[in-house]
Amino acid sequence: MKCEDFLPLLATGGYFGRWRARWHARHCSGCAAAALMMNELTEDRSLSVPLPTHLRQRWQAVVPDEYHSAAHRSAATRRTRSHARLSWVYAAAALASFALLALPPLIVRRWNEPATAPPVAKQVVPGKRGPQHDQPLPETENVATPAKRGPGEIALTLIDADEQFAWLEQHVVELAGDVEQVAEASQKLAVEQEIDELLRRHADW
Amino acid sequence: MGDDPEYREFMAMVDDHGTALWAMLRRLCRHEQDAEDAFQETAVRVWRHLASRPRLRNPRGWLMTIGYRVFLNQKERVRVNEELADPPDLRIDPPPEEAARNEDAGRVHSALEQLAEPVREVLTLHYVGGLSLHETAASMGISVGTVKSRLHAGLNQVRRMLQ
Repeated sequence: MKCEDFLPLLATGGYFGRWRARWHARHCSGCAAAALMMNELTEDRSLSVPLPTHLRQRWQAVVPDEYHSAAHRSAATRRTRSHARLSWVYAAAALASFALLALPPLIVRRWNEPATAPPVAKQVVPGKRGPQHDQPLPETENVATPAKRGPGEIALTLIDADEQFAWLEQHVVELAGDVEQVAEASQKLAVEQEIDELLRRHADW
Repeated sequence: MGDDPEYREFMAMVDDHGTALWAMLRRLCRHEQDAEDAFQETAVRVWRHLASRPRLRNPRGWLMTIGYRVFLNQKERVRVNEELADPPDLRIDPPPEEAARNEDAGRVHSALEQLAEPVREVLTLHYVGGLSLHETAASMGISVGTVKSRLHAGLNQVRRMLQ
């Protein structure tokens, strides 16, 4: 290796290249001295030259103004977000109140409407057929019964909520009792089936 | 404010890498006042962008890159018209071996000053800033191969000047 290549190889060479450069420096005092001198360049960033105090102060001095503006900025962002959140809340409240006002009349109106009859099948008599009798069977089509309420007629029905709840509660209690009975019966049935099975297996006894 | 993690990270950055940054900027700017201005501008940019970089894998490389970019911006505005003055040595009697080291360092730095600008910047970022070849290339916006070739040329010139 030539002495010219020593420093570049030390800087840019791979693992093997740097090893060759260090090996060369062991036998070449000139290159070793050059390497030491180049190390001086890196000494500037080591502890031998501490950062002057006034520069640290300048670094620190950047913070207050910037920090306050950043804090102001984040506060403004928070404010904007809270405004956006508030507007969403207002919109949701308006929607809910509209639903509260508009839905009960609709429900009451629907409640009073007569139950729609199930679709009826109306037979359509097929017309004249051609000579081939491979036509499909007589067609059927579903026709819904139209509502018979006249336009503009609104019927109001008052519902007693307490009565409805009491009725529901009673039914729930009855259903719970039924469920218990069914569970008991199923247990009995299972036991009976088990006994039957046992008796069948040991019929010889 | 002292309890703020962002602030603590900001100050830890100058405590850990401020010396290297300062040395690099001094060598790049070659003018004490310009270097100080660049240092402060670097602080401003670091503070501004620190929040958007919550996890820095290589804070030193990031800091040095910002410092180098500040230097480039400053170079466009300011003309270098004054030689860099070495900081005053406040020690009364430096030991002889340190005096010898200072002399060696002075020779290397004066050799560095004579290099062409692109080559000098590569050597400064790599040696003084402590950036790797890849980081140097990324900072300067050039390829690693170009960094290597400039480093090769610069070191050969320095070697010749030191002999």
